Amino acid sequence: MHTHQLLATTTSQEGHVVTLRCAGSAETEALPQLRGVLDALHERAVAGAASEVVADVRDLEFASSSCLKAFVGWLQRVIELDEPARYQVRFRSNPRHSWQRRSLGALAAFAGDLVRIETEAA
Amino acid sequence: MIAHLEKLLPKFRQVAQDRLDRVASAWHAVLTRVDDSSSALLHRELHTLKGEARIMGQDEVHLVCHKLEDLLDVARARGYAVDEDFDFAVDMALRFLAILVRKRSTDLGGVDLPGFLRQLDDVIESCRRRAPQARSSSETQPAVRPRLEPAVAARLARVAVDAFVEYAQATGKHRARLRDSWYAMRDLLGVERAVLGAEQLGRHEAGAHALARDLGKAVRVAFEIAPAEITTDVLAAANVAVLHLVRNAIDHGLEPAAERVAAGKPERGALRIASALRGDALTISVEDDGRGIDFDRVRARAVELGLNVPAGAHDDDHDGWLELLCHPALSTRAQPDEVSGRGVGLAAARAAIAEVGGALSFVSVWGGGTAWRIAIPIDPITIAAHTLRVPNLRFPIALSADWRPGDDDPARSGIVVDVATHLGLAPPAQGHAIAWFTCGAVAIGLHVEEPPRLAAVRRIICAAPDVIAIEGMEGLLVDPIQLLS
Repeated sequence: MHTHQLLATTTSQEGHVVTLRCAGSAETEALPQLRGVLDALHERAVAGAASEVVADVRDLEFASSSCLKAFVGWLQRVIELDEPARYQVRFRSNPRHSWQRRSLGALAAFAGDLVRIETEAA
Repeated sequence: MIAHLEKLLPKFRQVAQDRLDRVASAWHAVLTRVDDSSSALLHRELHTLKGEARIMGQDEVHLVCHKLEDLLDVARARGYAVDEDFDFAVDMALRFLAILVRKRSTDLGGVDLPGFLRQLDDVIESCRRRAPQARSSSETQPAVRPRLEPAVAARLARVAVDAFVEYAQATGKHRARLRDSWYAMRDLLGVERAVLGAEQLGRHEAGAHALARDLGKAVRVAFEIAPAEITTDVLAAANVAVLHLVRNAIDHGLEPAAERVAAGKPERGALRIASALRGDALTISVEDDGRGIDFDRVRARAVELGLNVPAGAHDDDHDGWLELLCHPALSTRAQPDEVSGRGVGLAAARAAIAEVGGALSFVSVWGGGTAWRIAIPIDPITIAAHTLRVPNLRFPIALSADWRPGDDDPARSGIVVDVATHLGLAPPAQGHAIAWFTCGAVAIGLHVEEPPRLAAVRRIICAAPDVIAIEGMEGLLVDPIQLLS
């Protein structure tokens, strides 16, 4: 587990599905860490020909706008992949966290069919 | 697509990407500080890209540019004082455009263009509902949050700083609860940034022409506006005051065309509105070349009403005459009409300015016109500061750029301060580098984790220490003199 004082992340893979779990608080000061995690996640998904990446943010209590932009940047890279390499993204969300109610919908609008939002309690 | 346009497409992609980079930089610049050239560049580049996209048959790029223009118009009307959700939407729109510009096939990779445009519409609508909207100059700024007495606001501001420090230093689960408290205080007390520029004061031009037309007069309105970063309170007060001063100038100051010609003046009256930041004050002037104030008539009217009449000439007893001119009962008109004559306009202008700590003054020459001058003290919102990371503080701090950094204590007599210890947040740190700063004869050393950097910081809460925004993070602007005391 890669830990930061605020943000904790783990990445795992099962078959063609790569799962990223984020917990804690993605404050602006965690941005370099989050960028690194998302870069590595993308490379792993592409190299492993993943069909789907699950971003489990149910335990992520907060994300600053800078960190949300990092998620958008990641989705931009996925959209711009050529079709064979492109993978689906599924966010597992928790409606108790207000940032998720507000911002994940925006991410879904940005990436259209590529992104699915699942809402469930952690 | 027409064959010759297809040949141009690679060039379009390259030029469009360059334009998007410039738009992104300009957007970042206008969020950081008032900068008319960045604002102009932002809107010009985007508009040009929209036009080029249309010529190239890139309808999707054209559509998103058009929607982003709507978004940026809303931001400009608010002086680019937008919240994080708005900034996030602009960022997404720019990335969306980058995707569209770079795509080499009709495959949009699952992108839902209509859905995305609806999302931007929601942001625009939400901002318009919440924001101090662009409105006609005859309206006053509606309160978007409760207005607090200055003394109460000042006391709460100190509490807000404490709330920030507790939140920013916190770890673990209670950080979220403290964040909510800090955000609530920030929403209630945070500096609401606005811009006073040509666009804001320019709104008075249409009203001036309409009023002059109604009165059978003609006026030429000239502006000399230096953009200034101010708060929304000051912007609202300035708008109210300028509105009344303009109406007063056209109704009372400017003569009808025939009278002007007879006096050897141009048929069309002249009105000049100017504003600038001078030192720590915003000054706005409204000048006309009309008939000037007839002090004899004002004196006679005041005597009729039993008011105190200044003993001296208006330039000897400025305050006395201003008091008289602003008296609600005073009007040199026998009967009030639809425009004025009830003697409330100047009083309303002076009251609006006084509410934000400003003052109204005037100079008038009989036959030569009147110049009204507004002066409002301003605390700069964006300033240059040395930003620092210090041991045991989870947030950055900054020192005003008035302090000069140096490698060593020049006087060998400075005191070294541990900021976290000074704030009561941690025991003294050991083994850290010391950054020295001097201002005049005073020197102070601070334990630091990295060398200081000069950056633009924006005040969020003014309470000494101020809470500030430093490149997307929140921190404290500390006063070294307070640290030394």
